[in-house]
Amino acid sequence: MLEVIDLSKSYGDLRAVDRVSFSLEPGEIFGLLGPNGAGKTTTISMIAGLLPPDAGKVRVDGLDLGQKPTEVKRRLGVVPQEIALYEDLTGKENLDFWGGIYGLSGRTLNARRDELLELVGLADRARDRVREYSGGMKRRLNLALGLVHKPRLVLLDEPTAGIDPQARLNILEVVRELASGGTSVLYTTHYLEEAEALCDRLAIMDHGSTLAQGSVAELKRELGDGSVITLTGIDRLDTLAVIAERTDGMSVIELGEERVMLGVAGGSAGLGPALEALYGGGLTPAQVQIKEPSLEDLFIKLTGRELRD
Amino acid sequence: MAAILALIRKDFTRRWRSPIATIVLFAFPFMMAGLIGSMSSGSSGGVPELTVFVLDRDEGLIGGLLSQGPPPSDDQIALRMEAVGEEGFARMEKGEASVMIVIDEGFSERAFDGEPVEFQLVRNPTESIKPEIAEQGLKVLSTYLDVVVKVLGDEISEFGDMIEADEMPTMLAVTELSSRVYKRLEVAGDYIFPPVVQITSVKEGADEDGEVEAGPNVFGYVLVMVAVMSVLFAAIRAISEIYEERNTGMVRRFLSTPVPISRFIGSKILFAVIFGVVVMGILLLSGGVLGWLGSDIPIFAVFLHTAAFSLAAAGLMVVVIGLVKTEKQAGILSWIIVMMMSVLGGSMFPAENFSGVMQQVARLTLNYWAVEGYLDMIVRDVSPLEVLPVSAALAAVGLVLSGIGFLLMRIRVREALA
Repeated sequence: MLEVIDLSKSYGDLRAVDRVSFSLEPGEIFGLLGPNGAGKTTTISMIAGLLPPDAGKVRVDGLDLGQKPTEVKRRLGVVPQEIALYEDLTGKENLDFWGGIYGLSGRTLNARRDELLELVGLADRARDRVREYSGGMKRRLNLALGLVHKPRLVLLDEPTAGIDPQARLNILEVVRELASGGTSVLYTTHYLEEAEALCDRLAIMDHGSTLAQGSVAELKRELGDGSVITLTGIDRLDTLAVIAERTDGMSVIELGEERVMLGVAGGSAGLGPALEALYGGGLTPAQVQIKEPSLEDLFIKLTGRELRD
Repeated sequence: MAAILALIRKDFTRRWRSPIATIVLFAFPFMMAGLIGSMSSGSSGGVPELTVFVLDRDEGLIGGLLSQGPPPSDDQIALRMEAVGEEGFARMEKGEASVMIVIDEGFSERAFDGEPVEFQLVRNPTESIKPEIAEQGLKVLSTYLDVVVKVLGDEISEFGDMIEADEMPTMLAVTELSSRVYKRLEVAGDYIFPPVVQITSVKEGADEDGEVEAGPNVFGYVLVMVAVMSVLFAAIRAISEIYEERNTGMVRRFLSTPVPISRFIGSKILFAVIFGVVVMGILLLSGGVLGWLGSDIPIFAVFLHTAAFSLAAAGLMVVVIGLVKTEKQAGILSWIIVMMMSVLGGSMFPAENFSGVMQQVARLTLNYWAVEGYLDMIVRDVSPLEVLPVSAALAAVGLVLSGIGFLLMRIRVREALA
C-alpha cells in the first residue's frame, strides 16, 4: 500500500530525514516511534505531499507521489498533529466542508458524516460549535476529518497528544477499527506503550534516521530473548563491562554512573548465571531490578538516552 | 468547482457565525453618513460657503427678502446670496455658483394673495454635494418665508405700501399695524396652513417641465462614499483570512487534499468579490429604504460597477497581504492603504472639493473611480453606459492585481510549510 524509499530532507545543514525506508501492507498499522525532533512529522509531511523530498520516493498503491500527486492524495487521509478545525463552525459543518472538498455531496456526504460522528463518539454534539468542545473531542473530530473520504491510507501524526485517557482509548479503538476494515495506518507517536499496544510493526527514529524496524516482538528480540537487569549503586563500571563481555548471553543496554541496564538472554534460566557472574565479580549493587524487555529499553540501547529526553 | 463552492459556503457560514466584524462593516458607513451628513446640513464652522445666485424677475418684496439670504444663525448653512440677471445661467456653468434661485414675475403679488407659488432652484449639473447642501439650506429659507407670508402677508403688503408711499404714515396707522403683527404672531402657532412658498428643484438642462424625481440627499452621498471603504475593509477581512487559516493549520490540511492550492486562494478572491457585492448591495438598499438615495438607481449597472470594484479591492488586498509575512503586518499595512486611499480618493471628503493637484492624486486611488462611478449613476444621472468604461477599467485592474497577488500568496503559503 505504501512504499517509502530512501526518503531524505535537509534544512540547511540539518539533516531532518536521512534515507528513511519502510513499507506498509493493506490493513497494517505501522508506527514511527521517536522523540520530538526525530523526523517523524517531516517524514509524514513528505508522504502527504506537503513537503518535497530532497531525495527518495513515495509510492501509494503503486503510484509515484512525485508523478501523480493528485491521485496519490485522493488515497490519503491526513490527520495533522495540530488540531486544525474551524472553531466557529459546528462539528457537522466541519465534516460537511471537508467532505465537499473531496467532492462528496448529498446523501453520500450525509451518510458518511453521520457514520464518522458515531465512530468518534460525537453524534450528540454534532451541532455544537467546535469552540465549545473539550480538547479530547477536538482531537476526535480532527481524526474524523481525515477519514471523511474513506482513504485507503491514513497518516496519523501524534493523534493522541495532550488528551485525556478516555479520548485516547477512543482514538486507538478507531484506529484498530480502520485497520480491521483494510485501511493502512501510518502512526507517529512518542508514547512507547501506545506504539507497543497498537502497531503491527514500527520503526524507531532518532535524528532523522530509522534505527530499527520490525514487529514489537522482533524489536524486543534485539535485546535478547530474556530479561533486563537494572542495577544501581555500581561504582566499578569497568569491572562490570568486563563481566558483561565475558558472560554468555549478557549485553550492556546502558552503562551509567546512576544506572546500569543489562540484557540477559535465555529467559529466566539465564538470570541465575548472570547474577552469579555479577556478584562473583565482586560487584555489590545497591538495588537490583529484573523485568521483561520493553521498547524503552531498546530505544535506550539504540540512542543512549530515554525517549522522554 | 465543488471545492470552490464548499470553500465559499464555508466562508459565508463563518462570517454569519461571527457577525461582529460584518456588523461593523455595515454600521460604519451609516455612522459616517450620519455624522458627516449632520455636520454638512447645519453646524457651526467647517461648512464651506456656498454661492447662490438669485435671478429675481419679480423684483417684489419676497424676492428682495430672498436675496438677503437665510436669517443669520449659527445653525444654518453658510449661503452667499448674489443677485444676478439672465447671465447667471452662463456664470453658473462656469462654476461660479452651486445653485441659482429663479423667482418669476408676479411671485410676490400671488404670494400675498394667498396663492401657492414656487421659486425654481436650478442646480449646477457639474457638482453633486454642494447643490444638495444648498438645497437643504434653502428649504429652511423657504419655510421661513412661507411662515412669514402666511402669517403676516397682509401686514407685509401694507408695510410695503407705507414704504413706497410719498407721505409719511401716521402714528396711528403704524401703531395699529404693529398691534396686528403682534397679535398675529401670538396666535400663529395655533393654526395649520397649507404651504404657500415652495421650492422646485431642477437641474440645468433638465426636462422643460423642470420636475426632477426625488434624488439622494447629503446622507446618501456620504453613504456612497463611505460604503466604498466598507467594500475595501470586506476585502481585507476576506483575504487576510488566508493567514488566519495558515496559522491554524487549515491550509496545511487543505494542501494534503487533491484540490490544488490555487483553488483555495482563488476562492478567497472570489469570496471577497461576492462579499463586497453583498455589502455594497445591502448598504445601497438600506440607503434607499431610509430615503437617502433616489429611487431611479440603475441596479444592473450599479451591480456591475460593484463587482468590478470588489474585484479591484480584492486584487489590491491580495497583493498587499501577499507582500508581507505575518497576519499582523498584513492587518496594519492593508489598513493604512485603505485609509490613505479613502482620504485621498474621495471616500471621506468629496473629491470635487480637492485642489487641482489633489484631484490628480485622487485619480490614482481605487476609491476615486469607485465613488465617481456610483455618484455618476446614482446622483448625477449619468448614463450607465458612460460609467461602463470605468467599471471595465476597475475590473481589469482587479484581474491584474489578483494575478500578481495570487502568485505572491502561493509563495507565502509554501513558505509556511517549509
